Amino acid sequence: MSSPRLPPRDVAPSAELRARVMAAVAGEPVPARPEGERRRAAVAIGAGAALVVGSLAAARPSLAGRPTAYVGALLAAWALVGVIATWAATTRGRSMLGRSPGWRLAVALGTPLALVVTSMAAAAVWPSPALEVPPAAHAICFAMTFGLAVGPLVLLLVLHGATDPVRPGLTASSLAAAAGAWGAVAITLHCGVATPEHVLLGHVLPVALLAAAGVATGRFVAVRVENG
Amino acid sequence: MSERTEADTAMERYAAGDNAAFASVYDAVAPRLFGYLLRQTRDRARAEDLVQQTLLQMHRARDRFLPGAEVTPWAFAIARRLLIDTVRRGKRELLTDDGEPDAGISSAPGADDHVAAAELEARLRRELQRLPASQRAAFELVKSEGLSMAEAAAVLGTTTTAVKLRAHRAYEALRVALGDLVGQLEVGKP
Repeated sequence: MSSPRLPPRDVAPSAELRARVMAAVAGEPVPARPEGERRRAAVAIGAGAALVVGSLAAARPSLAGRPTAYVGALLAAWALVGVIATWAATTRGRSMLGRSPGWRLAVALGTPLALVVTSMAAAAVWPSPALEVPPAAHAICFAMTFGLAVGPLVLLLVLHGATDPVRPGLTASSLAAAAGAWGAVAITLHCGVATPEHVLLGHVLPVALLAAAGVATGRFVAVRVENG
Repeated sequence: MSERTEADTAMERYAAGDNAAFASVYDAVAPRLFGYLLRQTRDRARAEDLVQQTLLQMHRARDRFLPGAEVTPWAFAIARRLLIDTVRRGKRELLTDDGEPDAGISSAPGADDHVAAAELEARLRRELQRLPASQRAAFELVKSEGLSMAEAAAVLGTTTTAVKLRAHRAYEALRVALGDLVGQLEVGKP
């Protein structure tokens, strides 16, 4: 296809700009990749361990009358969802611009959906007795799931800050969904109510809302204009 | 996989620990970024500020640079994001009117056709501004900045097919609007 083009023009930046950029770079040392990888691994392991301990302390694990097999199966399934979502949200493939928007959207939408499917499957295998669950119980678990997801979300945002110049909202949304999955895992350790309605409202809905709210946290993963 | 450019190999060396390689990254990337940003802002000082910020963002990502990653679409994506953010913040406005370009911009290749080229550029700019933003962005990245369809798609966060379609529609719209000038535009390839 022959094409119209903008006419040529003198587009050389000034020599002064080069000196300015080099001086700014020299004044703000950044470790090379091997050192950076070591640091990020140390943060991930240290903060990850602290989050596990903190979540166990906050959630106070208890079977609370639920079948051990049900709790074990649901925990294993949701932990798997959390691992997959975290991997899918944090890896960038071979591009500095990360995975495709479709991929990130799939993580944001697929994570709560996977939690729904696995919880429904668990409820079908181990039906819980019909209980009258007070709305307050939904609200408490809803809030706790949010609270337990904050730590993982902060960690993921710290590790992936200022990385996405194209679709930061989608990236943040996928990170928030992954963090929410870990919040759902933690609340499953504690909550004794296994009715599908409660699991959906108290444990899974917060994950979906976190993924939706993740768009608003996009600025934390966007490249930013320096102030001043 | 696409061929490794000078910018790719320089950034790879920089990420691996060769501090001096950033000068090569600058030399490979800055002129293209500056041309792009100058076209968008029509303000030499603003364009230089944005080039500096883009290069600093790339420097800050040194420890995260993926082996084998392409630098050009990444650099353009950062520059475009910074440009959009700057405009949104109201620090500067993109010139979307018919205003005269910055006095520091030379608009023509030679003195003889200076007036004609300036007129042509003004017309093209007017027509580009009439296009939908998505078509204009695709057209500019591919036709003006010389990015491949795949690179432009990465910069815009869309598919190669979508970029092809948008650039083609923009081209057709420009042909309709500038039919009598298309020949001259093709002569003026950068």
